[in-house]
Amino acid sequence: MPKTNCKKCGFPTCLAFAIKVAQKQTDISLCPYLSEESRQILEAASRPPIRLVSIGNHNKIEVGNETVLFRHEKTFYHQPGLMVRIKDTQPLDNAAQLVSEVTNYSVERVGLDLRLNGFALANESGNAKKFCKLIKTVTDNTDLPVILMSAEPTTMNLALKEAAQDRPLIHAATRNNWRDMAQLALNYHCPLTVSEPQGLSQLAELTKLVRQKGVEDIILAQELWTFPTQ
Amino acid sequence: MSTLEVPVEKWTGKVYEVKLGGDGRKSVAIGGETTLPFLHFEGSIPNRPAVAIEIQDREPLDWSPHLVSAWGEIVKSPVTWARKAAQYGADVIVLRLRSAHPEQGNTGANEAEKIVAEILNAVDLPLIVLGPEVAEKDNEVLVAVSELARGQRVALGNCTDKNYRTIAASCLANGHVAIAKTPNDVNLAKQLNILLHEAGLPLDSILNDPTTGSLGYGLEYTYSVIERLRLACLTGDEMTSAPIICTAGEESWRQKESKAIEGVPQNWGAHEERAIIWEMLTATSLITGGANIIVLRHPRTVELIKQQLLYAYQRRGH
Repeated sequence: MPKTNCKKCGFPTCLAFAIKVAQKQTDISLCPYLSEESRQILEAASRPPIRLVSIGNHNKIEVGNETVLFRHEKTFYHQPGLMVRIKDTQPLDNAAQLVSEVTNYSVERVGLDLRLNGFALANESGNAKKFCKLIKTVTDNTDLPVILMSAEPTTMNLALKEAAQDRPLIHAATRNNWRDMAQLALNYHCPLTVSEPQGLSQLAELTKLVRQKGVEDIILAQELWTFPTQ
Repeated sequence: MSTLEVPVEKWTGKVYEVKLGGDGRKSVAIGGETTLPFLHFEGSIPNRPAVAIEIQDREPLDWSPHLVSAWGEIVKSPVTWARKAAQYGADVIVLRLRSAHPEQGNTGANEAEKIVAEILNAVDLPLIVLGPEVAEKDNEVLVAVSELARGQRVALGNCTDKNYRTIAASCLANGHVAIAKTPNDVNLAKQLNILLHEAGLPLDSILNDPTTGSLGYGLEYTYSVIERLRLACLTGDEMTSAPIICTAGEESWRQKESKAIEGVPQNWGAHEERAIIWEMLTATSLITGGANIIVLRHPRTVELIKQQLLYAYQRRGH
């Protein structure tokens, strides 16, 4: 801390501010006089072990921010989001019907209203127009959050022009496209998935690069193991 | 490129390895792990969880019609049922002596000996025999079974704090394994293990049934109890180191979501599929928590769980 007691952070003294920072009740960036070096150290120390990432606007889902590995140590706060995948190779009428069915689906159980959380829209066709049409059809029929799945930055840019106001999750930055995808995440203020199936070290390395570019809201993609079915 | 350092715990404890069967029968070993479930990078997991199929010594009158029709007429013939269960891929057969219940036949030692002898002859898989869960009847039929099956290392249950002495003594005398059942509590589980051990039973001859809550009915409590027993064991507490058996089939098929045919919302989906998913999710969760033997009822669930386990372990080169 600069020990100026300037009050610009909103606290009466540097000490009071420091205590609040240590308790993770305020943000270190409120201090205008902090040296770059101290800022980096304190930011890293005050970061939660798993970042809270939110997807969507109206019915946003929040994931992460867990503090324990075992539920009995404290509790888990954010349950995983359940997203239904729709491919842009599917007829639009089918997609629209599925979207309204999923959006209206609910099961009441012991006073809880259990629902699905959103949609993962896949650019299976490789065609940007088809992808944008699917996105429009889906967002016209639901308020639930969406994940946009395409490996092609130009396609993702068009898709985000369609859907960025709904704060979708961009899926995904890979070793081939991460610079462009990170830039899109910054331009449109959207969370970003980082995907690197080669291994954990490679995933960590790629995530570091994306973070260094300024993207904060990052979701790590796990390699999908599908079961062989008979 | 920097290498990610995966944090690895250095545990000091180990789950006891318990063997069932042998002496001319197939044998199955469970337990023996030195780390939490599926953390192959951290410790040794010598045995995959065993899948057991539950059969009963009389036609089950309170089972869901979907469950009964999955097996067909053979539910009236325990020996044929046991053979079929072996065909469906059971690692272990669980025989519930339902007819010994005072209100469901009140059969005694003679009938129990007869049916167990027939099943031991008909299938060569390891056997677990459960009483009707009425303490004095459990003692009567399980002691008879214990003597009959001497040397074939079956597991007998359940021991509770009320009747553990008789069953423990009989297991000790005849070379069997005792199942200690306690109501969803880490300390009670540990306490009963201490009592069994003090009664002379070696620690490699005890299984723990922590009481299973199914999906939607306390699953998370059972999960936490198993997890805490495992953590205590791995940090060196021998009295929480018994392998764990969970009756996932019995508990999930007991619930409204699996049983009710009428009067459920349409949104609940197709009945049989839902019931199988209920059993499968209950089982999968408990295996993830650390269960070593999972007892199931529906053949399709058995197929799905075995597929998952074989796949997960094949990837590890097991």
